[in-house]
Amino acid sequence: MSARSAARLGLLALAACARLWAAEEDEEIRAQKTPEATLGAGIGYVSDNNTRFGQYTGLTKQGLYPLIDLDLRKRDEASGTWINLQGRNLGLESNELRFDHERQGKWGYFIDYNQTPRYSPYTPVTRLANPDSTSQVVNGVAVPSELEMKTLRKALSAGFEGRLTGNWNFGVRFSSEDKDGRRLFGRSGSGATGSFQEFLVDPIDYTTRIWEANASYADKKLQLVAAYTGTNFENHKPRLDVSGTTSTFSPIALPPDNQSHQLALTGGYNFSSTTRSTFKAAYTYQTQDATFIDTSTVGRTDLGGKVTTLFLQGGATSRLTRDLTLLGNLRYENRDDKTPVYDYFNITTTNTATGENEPRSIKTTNGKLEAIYRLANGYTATGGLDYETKVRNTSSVRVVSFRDKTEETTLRAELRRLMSQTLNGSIAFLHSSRGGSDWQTTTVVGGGLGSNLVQPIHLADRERNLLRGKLGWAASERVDVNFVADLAKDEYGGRALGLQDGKATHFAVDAGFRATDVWTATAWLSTDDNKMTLNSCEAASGTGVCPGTAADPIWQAKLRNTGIAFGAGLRGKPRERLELGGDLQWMSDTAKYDQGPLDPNVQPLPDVTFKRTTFKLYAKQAVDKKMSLRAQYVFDRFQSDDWNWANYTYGDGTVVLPNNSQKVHFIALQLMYSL
Amino acid sequence: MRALLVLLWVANALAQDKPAADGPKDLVLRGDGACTRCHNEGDNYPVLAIGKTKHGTMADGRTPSCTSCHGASEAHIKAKGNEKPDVLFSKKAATPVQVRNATCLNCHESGKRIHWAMSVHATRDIACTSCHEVHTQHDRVRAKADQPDVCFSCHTEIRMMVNRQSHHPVREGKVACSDCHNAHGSAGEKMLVKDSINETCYSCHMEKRGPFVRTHQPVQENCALCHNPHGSVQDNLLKARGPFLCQECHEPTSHRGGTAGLGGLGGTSPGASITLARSCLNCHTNIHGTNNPRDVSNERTFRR
Repeated sequence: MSARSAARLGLLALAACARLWAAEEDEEIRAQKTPEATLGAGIGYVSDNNTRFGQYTGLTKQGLYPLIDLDLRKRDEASGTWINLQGRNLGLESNELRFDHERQGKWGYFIDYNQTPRYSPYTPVTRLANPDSTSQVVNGVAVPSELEMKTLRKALSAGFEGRLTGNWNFGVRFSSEDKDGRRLFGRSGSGATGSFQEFLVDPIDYTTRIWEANASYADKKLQLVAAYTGTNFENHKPRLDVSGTTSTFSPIALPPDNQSHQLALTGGYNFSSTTRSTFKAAYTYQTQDATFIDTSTVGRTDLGGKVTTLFLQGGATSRLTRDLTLLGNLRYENRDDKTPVYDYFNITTTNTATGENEPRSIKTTNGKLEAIYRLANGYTATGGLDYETKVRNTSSVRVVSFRDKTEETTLRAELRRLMSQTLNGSIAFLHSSRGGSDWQTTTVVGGGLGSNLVQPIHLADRERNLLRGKLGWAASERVDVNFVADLAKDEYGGRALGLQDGKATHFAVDAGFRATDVWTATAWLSTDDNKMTLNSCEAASGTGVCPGTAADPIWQAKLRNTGIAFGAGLRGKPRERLELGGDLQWMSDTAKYDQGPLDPNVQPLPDVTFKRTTFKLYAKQAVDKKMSLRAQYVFDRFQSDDWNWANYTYGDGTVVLPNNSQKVHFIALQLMYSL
Repeated sequence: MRALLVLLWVANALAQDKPAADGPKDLVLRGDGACTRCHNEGDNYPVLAIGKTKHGTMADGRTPSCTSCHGASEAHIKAKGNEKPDVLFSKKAATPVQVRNATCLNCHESGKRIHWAMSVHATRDIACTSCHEVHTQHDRVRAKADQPDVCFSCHTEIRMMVNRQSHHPVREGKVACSDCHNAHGSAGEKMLVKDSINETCYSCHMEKRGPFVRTHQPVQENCALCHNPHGSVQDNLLKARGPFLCQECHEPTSHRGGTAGLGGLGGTSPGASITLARSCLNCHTNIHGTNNPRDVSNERTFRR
């Protein structure tokens, strides 16, 4: 071969290589910038029947389940048109499927289907007949059997959005959700042996519809959204008839249909690059005119319920100087219950009710002022004042003491510091004080003073102090640690019975550790402790005198919930084609009651502990560029010593299994394919 | 030697799509050649993955260039990376949070983000990129199943609650924080998606809305007086076990002040019958309100 021929050959070879390299490079770039689409299909196995592990996923029965997930995304580069199809849990009751078609910046629409099951943790064993119907018969079947208590929500929604000329957009959206199933229910009654309680099922059969339309405008200065929202709730089973025993509580009303219409205008305006204002005005008209399930003696066939709500909000924030920012916000909501009042229960007025329906109106005004000042050395100080007042109506006769007005003022102060790029922190203190108008007392028949020993929790005088500290520490390039501590204390004043005080603490530490370029780890530990002291007495007289005897004591319960939880995770890619990961989560919650003195016929409530351990492992092995295999193992254990259901038998003989100890292994294998 | 030079020249020319005189070509975004010359497919940080996102849809004339977000960064380019870009978004970046966020708000200040400037997140210097990842197809905070973990990195107390035995299906990935809260700020309280707590709850629990023939005042005022929506050790997300919860408001007359406990004499006596099962709700079963107009005295107590 001549030198010239060799050079030609070399030239050709090099050219071919260069093309190959360029093509590989282009392929790598294309892969990195092109939307990915994946499809996963496989099978999972649940080792044991349960009501906790699969409570919201449907993985409640021992056996095999198909596992199908998809995330298909395709973009036409020339037109910017996306077609997406995303599905999750497609083989399970908790399946979700969404289709989007969008020309980005022009128009888009979607259709979404979503199911959410909920399995009650508990299993009644009952002789109730026709539990899914509106005509239930207590002890209507001869042999008690287990009843699965479950609801299933099926939601279908769709929407369209379009961009009009200029800066205008519009959108419409509709959703319809059916909720069916069973919920624990019951009724009381009285017979020869006294009063009793019976087990029933709330035969849920709801449809909830929401439809929205909006038009929006946006430019650099002004943004506006005008919206209409309509809602409609329909209960296909509004009445429950119960037979089989001596109880007279039948029929029982189930939730009535209701509907609403709302118009709203929301906006924001930038006065400058440092000053912005926002507002919202909304008016809602809500009605409830479902046909009564039973005869009314006032000549009405429905309530004629009508509630209007006016909501107004306006606020502004401005960076007045390089270091000082001020913010102010005011909210006002007037919920006006205009339901006509009738003496539905044409009874002699008692000390707790007149017999009339009681429309509930409430006006809430909430204001906020805040100053943020950037100090030297990376400190930022924030001071704030919040004010809230609520004005409510009430009826002329009431069952608890009532306040038509409450006011609460809160002062806040916070100091933050970005100490360095590796250490930052904040400490905040909050004090709030709530009071209100004079108490409207309960009365006895004839108008005398009734029992007024308790301040209802949301109306009571209250002093609240809260201290919160945060610290973030990037210990090294590889280690981040964050600490949080909250301490809160409430003191209720004025009356000897009811809630007296409360205290809450929360501590958390979170750490992230990038051990190597291949392995990362996270861990966290949290605790919380919530206490409150409740006083009451047995058998107070109608005028509020507690006997305070051994038989009918004035008692106190120091209610306390303590929780501790721990989590840890590990992620790694030890080989190019292999991903490994694992998570461990453990939590323990304890409820304590610490009661005394007790009624002589009563034994104190034991503590209750709930424990849950969840351990997950997964591995993903790439078979080739397109295909991978994903394996997953989950161990889930729930334990409790809750005595609530274990010690109770309904008057009709129904018992409810608490299912206090559950252990499940779940194994799954999925083939993942990249399209 | 001459042949070798020719070879190298040809190979180089073949490897280029465009003549070198035109400058480096764009790989993903308009005018990104100056950036992707270095930050290319071999970069440790997946810069080009922005092409998988809506920010990388070139047919949409609104989509940004690298410099739309990171600034012209001339010093960075001239110094071949030895100087920082003008605007950086990483956790430890020196760029002030307000500057970072202004970059995003330049295009994203409308719609659900109108109230951002008034939100607690904004005033506490939370950066958009504290939660959002821009250079990835999978922005975790926008995925229902992953979003809570992003929120829990700060809201650790809520992480405790959603793992309690009674909880919304957050840990199961069926409800996300953003179903109730708008992290970008809202006109209503607690950054809720609706104007009030009750309106937010009614989105899914509209059967509780009423009004009813008999209404229960705290129900109409605020669902959160009795329920903790983030989770509870008590069933039904209740803040306290019955009868204690009811005794926080109700006078101790009649059976209402009865001692909670095991045992007892049955009926409405202190002990098990007012404590166990559904507690007070064993009898007062329609506690959220009843629309039964029947003219009997017991009707006022939510029993039918």
